[in-house]
Amino acid sequence: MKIGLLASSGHNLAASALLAGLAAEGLPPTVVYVGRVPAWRLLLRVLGRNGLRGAWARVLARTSGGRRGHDPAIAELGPLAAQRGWRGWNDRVQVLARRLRIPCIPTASMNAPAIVADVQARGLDLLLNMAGEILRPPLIGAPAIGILNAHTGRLPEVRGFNAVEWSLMLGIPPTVSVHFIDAGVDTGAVVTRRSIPWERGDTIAQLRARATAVQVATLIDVVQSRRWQLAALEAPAPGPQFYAMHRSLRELVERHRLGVS
Amino acid sequence: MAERQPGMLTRITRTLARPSHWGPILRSVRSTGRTQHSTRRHLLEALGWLTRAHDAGTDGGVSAGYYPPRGGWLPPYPETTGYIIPTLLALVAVLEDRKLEERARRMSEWERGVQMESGAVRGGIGHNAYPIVFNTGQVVQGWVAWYRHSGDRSALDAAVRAGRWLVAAQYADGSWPSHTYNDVPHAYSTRVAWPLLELHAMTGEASFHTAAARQIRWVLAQREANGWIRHMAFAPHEHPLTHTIAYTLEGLWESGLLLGDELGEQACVAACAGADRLLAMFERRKDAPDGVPHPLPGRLRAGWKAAARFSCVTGNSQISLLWLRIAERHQDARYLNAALKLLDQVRGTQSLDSTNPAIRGGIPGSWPVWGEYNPFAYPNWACKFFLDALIEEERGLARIRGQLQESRA
Repeated sequence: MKIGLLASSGHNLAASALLAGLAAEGLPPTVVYVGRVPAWRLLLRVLGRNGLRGAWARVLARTSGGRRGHDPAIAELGPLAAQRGWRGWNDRVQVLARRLRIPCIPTASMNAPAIVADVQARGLDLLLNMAGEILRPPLIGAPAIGILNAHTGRLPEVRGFNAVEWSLMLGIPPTVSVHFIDAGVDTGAVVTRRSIPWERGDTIAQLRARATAVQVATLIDVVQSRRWQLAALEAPAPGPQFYAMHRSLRELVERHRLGVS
Repeated sequence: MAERQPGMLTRITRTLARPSHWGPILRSVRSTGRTQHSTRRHLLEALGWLTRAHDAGTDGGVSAGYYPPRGGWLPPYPETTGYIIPTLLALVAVLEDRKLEERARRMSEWERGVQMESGAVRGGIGHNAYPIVFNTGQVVQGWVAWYRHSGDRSALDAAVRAGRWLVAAQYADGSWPSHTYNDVPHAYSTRVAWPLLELHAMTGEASFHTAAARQIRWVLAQREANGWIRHMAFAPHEHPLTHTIAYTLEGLWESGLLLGDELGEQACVAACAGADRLLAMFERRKDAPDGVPHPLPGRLRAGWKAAARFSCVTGNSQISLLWLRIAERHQDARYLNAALKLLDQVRGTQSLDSTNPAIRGGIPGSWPVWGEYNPFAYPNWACKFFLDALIEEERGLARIRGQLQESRA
């Protein structure tokens, strides 16, 4: 089976871990497509999101404490990677791909015609999505089997963004759902679901980091077992779509659901 | 008769004459819509501005607002003085401030003093000789709120006279095509149906209910397949402001709840369909999924597409308010979530430290302030709707807090 990996950027820790995990299990991808955002656009995005002070804080965080800065997912992925022997899981995607001798193709958008053409030319069977952008039909239809995504919410109930937070608010157990991508947002056929362990005292940041580890592990297990072949898959009737959660609601969830003061 | 507008040079000179007027211009360039202050601080500053606007009016009416291009505080505005009354009464409960009650009483009395012989409310700002349907409806709402709060019969009597004028002015199809702004029917007259239904609830007079239901039916007949409603704009062939879109949807929503029958359900469904389109547009216009939404465009064209670059700040508060009401009714926190973000943007337009008391706490018409809706000005209704939305926001957050605490217990 020929697999491709879609990574939102070279700094995507989950993508690095997935790449390392697949390689360790004897399932190295045929190719990695890496998102490349022009530096000026990235700067504008960070400034718009965080303001000047927040942007400077992010630069400091990224440049101190190691190459990955203070990504909380490291604390969750590290033990898993050590247990399963994922070498180089913490390296940048391009560095790891080079070491594994896997072609790494940069792109401004995963939906670019050149990427679609490349997927078809290589005869890829499966794409694994760690891209973070909405994928469109030309790309969705390009691999023979489809594109798998690990969504951090229980589908079909919790579609969209910040699914961990919304799950907690709604009283739905935090869950990773691996599903095929279709033209809708988190509406494709669900292959499997796996719980995200949590307990009172966890912060949302810790839970999201834990979700990353569950995403990576579940995707690897699904690919290894070809789980989509085990049962007829159906796309369930979609639930409501959620968007980024406002900080006021996030604080309420942390304080009253997670018990973090 | 319309007041003669000053020339462009005069308006520019007046706007730039005082250094305190430069602040909002600079903030329009810099502001990212974030605020470090509490909701309560924003609310108190907005209320402070509104009381100053009231004091700047004459004999109890609220000045239409602070308009630097037109020389400063404008004369009182009957329409908006009317619907400021329920806002003040809501704040009496929130802040436990009885002085606001006295202001509401004075506003109600002032409205009775300027009411026309026919029962209608005067159009425009100041003391004009022509009636306007929409304005009459808003003052009916104010009188009904005052009567409900105080038992002051004279307010109810004034409201009934105004209501009967509205009924007489309505056409058989349910629209009001005359005695309206630009003499055309408007879908935002759903916000006249709403107070008529409130008046019917107070008096039992059937004609008020009939007229309101007719208007709702007429507006529902203007719907297109994608939920867009024709005639929401001030003028034909104009793209409606979010201000009048929100009037239309709010009027449908509140009228629908009061009707409580099949027609009412259709009205609520139509309001929700519009609210959903606005929510999706707002939430998706951003640079990244976890980024801050772009400001909502101040005008939309048919099909819910952006038709302006400026943002109508009044409309933003009104849309937030509609979302908050739907969130409460449907127990759907997504609407609360969107309202919090949109209100963050409105908060970002409010100056909390201007040395000019006519700007401090006020809400501008547009953002950036030079946008086409009341440019460089602070309309009183922008402040009123902001206050309404903040009150509902506090209630919404308190409700979520309670639900989370309950589920933990």
